[in-house]
Amino acid sequence: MSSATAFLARRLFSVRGMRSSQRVMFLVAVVGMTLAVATLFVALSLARGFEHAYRQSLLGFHAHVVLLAQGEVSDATSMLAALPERVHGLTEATPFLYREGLFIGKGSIKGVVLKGIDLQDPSWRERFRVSGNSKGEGVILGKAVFPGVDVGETVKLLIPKQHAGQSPFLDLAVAGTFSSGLYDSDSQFALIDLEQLRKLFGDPSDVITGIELFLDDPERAQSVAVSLEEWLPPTLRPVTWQELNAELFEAIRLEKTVLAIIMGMLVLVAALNIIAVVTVVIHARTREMAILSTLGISRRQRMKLLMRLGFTPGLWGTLLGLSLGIVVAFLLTRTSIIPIDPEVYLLDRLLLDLSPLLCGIIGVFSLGVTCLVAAVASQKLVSLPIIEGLRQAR
Amino acid sequence: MSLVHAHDIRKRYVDGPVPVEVLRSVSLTVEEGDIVGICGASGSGKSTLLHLLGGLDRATAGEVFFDGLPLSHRTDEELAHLRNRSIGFVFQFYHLLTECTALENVMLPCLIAGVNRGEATTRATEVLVEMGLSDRAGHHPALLSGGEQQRVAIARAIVMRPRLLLADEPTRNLDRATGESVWTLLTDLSERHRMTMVVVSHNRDLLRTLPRVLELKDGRLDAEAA
Ligand SMILES: Nc1ncnc2c1ncn2[C@@H]1O[C@H](COP(=O)(O)OP(=O)(O)OP(=O)(O)O)[C@@H](O)[C@H]1O
Ligand SMILES: [Mg+2]
Repeated sequence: MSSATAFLARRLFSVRGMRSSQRVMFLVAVVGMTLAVATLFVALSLARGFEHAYRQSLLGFHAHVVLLAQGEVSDATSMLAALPERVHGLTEATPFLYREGLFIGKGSIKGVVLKGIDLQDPSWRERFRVSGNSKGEGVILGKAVFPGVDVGETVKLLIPKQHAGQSPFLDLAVAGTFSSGLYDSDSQFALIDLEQLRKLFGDPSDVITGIELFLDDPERAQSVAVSLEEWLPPTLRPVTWQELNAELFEAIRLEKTVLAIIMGMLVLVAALNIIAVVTVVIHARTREMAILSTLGISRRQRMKLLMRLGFTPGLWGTLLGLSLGIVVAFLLTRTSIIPIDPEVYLLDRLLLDLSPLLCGIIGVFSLGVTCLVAAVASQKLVSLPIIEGLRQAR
Repeated sequence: MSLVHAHDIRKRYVDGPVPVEVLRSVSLTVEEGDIVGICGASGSGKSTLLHLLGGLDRATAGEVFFDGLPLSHRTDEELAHLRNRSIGFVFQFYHLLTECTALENVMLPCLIAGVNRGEATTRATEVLVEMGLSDRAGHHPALLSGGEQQRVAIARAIVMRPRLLLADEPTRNLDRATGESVWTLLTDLSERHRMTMVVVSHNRDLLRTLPRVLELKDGRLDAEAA
């Protein structure tokens, strides 16, 4: 059955056999589909790239599961010792302390969260991409707290709560800077040794904000949190990174959805050109269709023939669009043609996540839309008047 | 049983500025193997009648029976199937597909019937040989003479070995000698394959060779007033 329609499509609807006006319409349909599919692909790759980058940076700087202290935690040390046994795949568990302070340096004042951790642990240097010497007393500033600050400079820290008689200003040496990849973290955090932080703020030596857990697989955070819930004392509450950043990821998810819908509409609009192509080409073939009707071509076969006609520009557009999208996305990641403002986007470079799965989904979607549009057009045009067609055929 | 039977058919065209009653009351019975000639003035409705007999169009009233079954009860899909398997058309203007070679034109009904390419090629070649066109198989219609084009069209009409051949002025576009040879070809084919044929023509000389000729006049079909 298909051999008749394939044969006729080749003879009657080949691009080479089209009149120039029809060829232009065909071209417009292909170009439209190409651009729409490419845009959809680049836009979604970009959105996925951002999501991925946020995640990477977040998971680098922030823990996968945080055990938040609710009041006094007296037995933190024994708990830390027991954690590796309880938590499968635990790579790290560190107590931390958050304190807020105002930094004065480089002629400006910045409100900063001081994060006290065990800075003797060398793994932090890698995690936070610390530059400079972090050994000894001092503070490691986020690289965007005071841009351009040099290691060894001193900055002043204004502490809100102090002992009587103590100056509210403390001089701290900058031991280094860190870069987490997230502008938010880089501009609002400073790392400092846990013990030193407690001393500065006059805290007792066992006070912590919580314990940070890092896992080999961040996706297991939820199950780890659930399993720890019963075991932990009521003073420690496990919170996962997904919960901590729920709003951010919800926003990204929404952005991705909206983007997909709008760009998907673009593909649909581009596919509508196919109706024009099928209409124009088939009307120019009234004679041939009438002749084929006298030979007994069935409605189903005519439908197949029209579907083929409509599917061709969609197929070309989809293939070319995906290719173009991949090339553009590749260029965007490799070159910085489009500079982005880290203060706006939290990230300092454009990231695209080129996924074969995304490629496949967009391809299937685009071809599906093509089929749908081609089917609608074919349905409208499949019944051509035979007798009139024969009259034309002179 | 008669192969084709038209019972009191009427055809009215209402799509023009004024309705035209082309066929008022036409009845016709064609037995299997018969050759019937139809003549009539231009515009008398000869083509219209052939279209109705071949199921290309539907009558306004009355009924056409093919092999005893009424056409009006058949769906478009069934009519298409009938045209493909049981009815062959030959037209004044050949109506070949210019994009296809002679051979491919003849293959078309087979391909539409779902016959595979190889088998279709074999059948089409056989018929082209029968038409004396074996050396023209690869030619496109534009390269063929009028007579050759009409013979390709006839080959295409009979390649499925239809029971009924409907020919609408098959010789009108041809010069006298060619027209006569095409006419002879058609009547010989019909006799050889016992293929029922209804042929429309203006040419009285050619019509005279047929045993039965009817004239369409004022929307009615009568035995020709000789
Ligand atoms: N679709 C239509 N709408 C209106 N009138 C039509 C239509 N088709 C045919 N007619 C009219 O019907 C009449 C018969 O047409 P038809 O083609 O059957 O005549 P014919 O006998 O074959 O003529 P000719 O010898 O010139 O081929 C003509 O007057 C024509 O104008
Ligand atoms: Mg006519």
